[in-house]
Amino acid sequence: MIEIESVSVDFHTKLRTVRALKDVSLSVPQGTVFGLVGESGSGKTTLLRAMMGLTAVSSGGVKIAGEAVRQNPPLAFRRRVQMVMQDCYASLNPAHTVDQIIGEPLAIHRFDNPEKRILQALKDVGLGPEHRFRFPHQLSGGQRQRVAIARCLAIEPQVMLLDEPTSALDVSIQAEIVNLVMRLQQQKGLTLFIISHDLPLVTHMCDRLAIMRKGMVREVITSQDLIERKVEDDYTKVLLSASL
Amino acid sequence: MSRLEIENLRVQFMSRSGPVPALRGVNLSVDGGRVGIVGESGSGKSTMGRAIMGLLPLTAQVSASRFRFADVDLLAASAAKKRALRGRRIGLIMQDPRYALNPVMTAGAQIAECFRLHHGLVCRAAKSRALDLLAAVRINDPETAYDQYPHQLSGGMGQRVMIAIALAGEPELLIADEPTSALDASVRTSFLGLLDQIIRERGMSLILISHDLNLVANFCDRVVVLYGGQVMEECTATDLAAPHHAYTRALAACRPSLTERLPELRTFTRDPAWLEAQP
Ligand SMILES: Nc1ncnc2c1ncn2[C@@H]1O[C@H](COP(=O)(O)OP(=O)(O)OP(=O)(O)O)[C@@H](O)[C@H]1O
Ligand SMILES: Nc1ncnc2c1ncn2[C@@H]1O[C@H](COP(=O)(O)OP(=O)(O)OP(=O)(O)O)[C@@H](O)[C@H]1O
Ligand SMILES: [Mg+2]
Ligand SMILES: [Mg+2]
Repeated sequence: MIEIESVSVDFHTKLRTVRALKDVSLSVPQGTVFGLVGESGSGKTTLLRAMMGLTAVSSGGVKIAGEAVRQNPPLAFRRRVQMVMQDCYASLNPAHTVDQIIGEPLAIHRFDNPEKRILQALKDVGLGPEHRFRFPHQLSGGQRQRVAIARCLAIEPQVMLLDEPTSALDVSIQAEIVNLVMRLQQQKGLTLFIISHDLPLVTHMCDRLAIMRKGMVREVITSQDLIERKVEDDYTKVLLSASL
Repeated sequence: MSRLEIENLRVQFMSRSGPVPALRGVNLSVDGGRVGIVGESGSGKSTMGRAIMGLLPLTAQVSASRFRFADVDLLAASAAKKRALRGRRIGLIMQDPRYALNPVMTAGAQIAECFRLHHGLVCRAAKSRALDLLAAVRINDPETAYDQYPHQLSGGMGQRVMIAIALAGEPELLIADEPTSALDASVRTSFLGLLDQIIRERGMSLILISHDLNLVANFCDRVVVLYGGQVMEECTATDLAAPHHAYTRALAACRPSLTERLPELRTFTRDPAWLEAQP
């Protein structure tokens, strides 16, 4: 269960204060898939970072499985909750090979058989042994994104927070990875929180979704509502018609 | 007319585990108009864009039987000559905006610099043009974004700053590498409208690299389908409705839809024969 309770986030820069989130509340039951869509710059990534304790909230709070998220969360939290960042260039250490990038968290969390797990994780995302000893800059954009997904999957988390996880992938590889993640979700009852600009993809994956604009949640609807075009909010209608 | 002519372009990267072929004999000619490049992740799309821009790393080996832009031989040109093309005559919107932007310069300063360098504008004029451009790519609060550093921008704002930098040079040929991957559907539609207007007004040529078959089919005149560093199919955008190659057909089938919910997304098996040399 993820509970986001009236979270606000302010960023203070030299000249002004940017209020990136205004009193956002959402709740995601355990074992369900929740989508977050909305305008570019509306605060989606900021919300996800707050859920991981990476961005300080100005007010409100986040609880995952009953536990309040703090900054620098403990190891056990990171074992259960994993994220894939939107900006995969920044999240992959440029001085580490793919092998180290996937292997390091495995070592931290004391997994057995790291070798086998690394190869399996690569295979899961359509990469091969030939990519294992490359550095991030020696991969294509979509291959880098897949390494970030592989690292997340290898840890076998119970909660996955995914920020535009397939934005750099073509639909054929996207379909393979999405099918795999959804099979895992069903088998293991994972909780998924997915940010995406791809309305059809979110509709496919999610039970419910929230639409954000300017730091606020405009409405929360089910994917079925979206398919039946049962939307109330004007901004949701704009997004929907631009996606058709 | 600024014409890009590429014949039999081959690029391979040297790495610890041996050479990695990225492009294996690609032909492309662009003379005005809009060409779309689609293809699987890792098929060589960005490598193609970087090769044209002269931005490949030193580990890359490039050969071609013809590789020209207008009057410049891109294989033989000096570093200075290639630098003169970059930004001003050929623009590139890079796939990874965060990586491409300068982390210690504000977004606005980076756009304004292009106006100063390429059009000789003075500071104040450059700033006002930069603010106009930020508004044109639908940044909500251009004044605030102008003073923000790249790490303070959202993914889609960074992408739009990258777009603004490329457009500021008013290039003859624009290579846009996945320019809309971080944009919401509504902002994407207005960006495409802006691009369309610029192409009509200035007669700019466009190479649009994208994995979005629909986008390319609707926006481009011609489409090149890459797979494993080779061209599988080249056709007019209208022909994409009935593609010849199995890979192109598969690309159309695997898309999630907004009208029905399938239990699983469609996938397909790749045929090793696709990788064999094309006739
Ligand atoms: N470190 C920061 N300092 C100042 N402002 C910031 C910072 N990080 C984010 N912002 C601002 O907060 C707002 C929300 O950004 P966020 O990255 O959450 O948007 P987003 O919804 O993820 O957008 P996108 O879809 O484009 O990725 C933006 O206006 C952004 O400029
Ligand atoms: N510096 C490098 N060293 C070794 N291999 C590289 C290097 N850069 C790219 N490659 C490889 O070259 C191939 C083509 O890469 P490229 O970035 O052109 O793909 P792409 O079509 O743009 O893919 P994507 O859609 O994922 O961005 C990939 O298999 C990639 O792993
Ligand atoms: Mg974001
Ligand atoms: Mg690429």
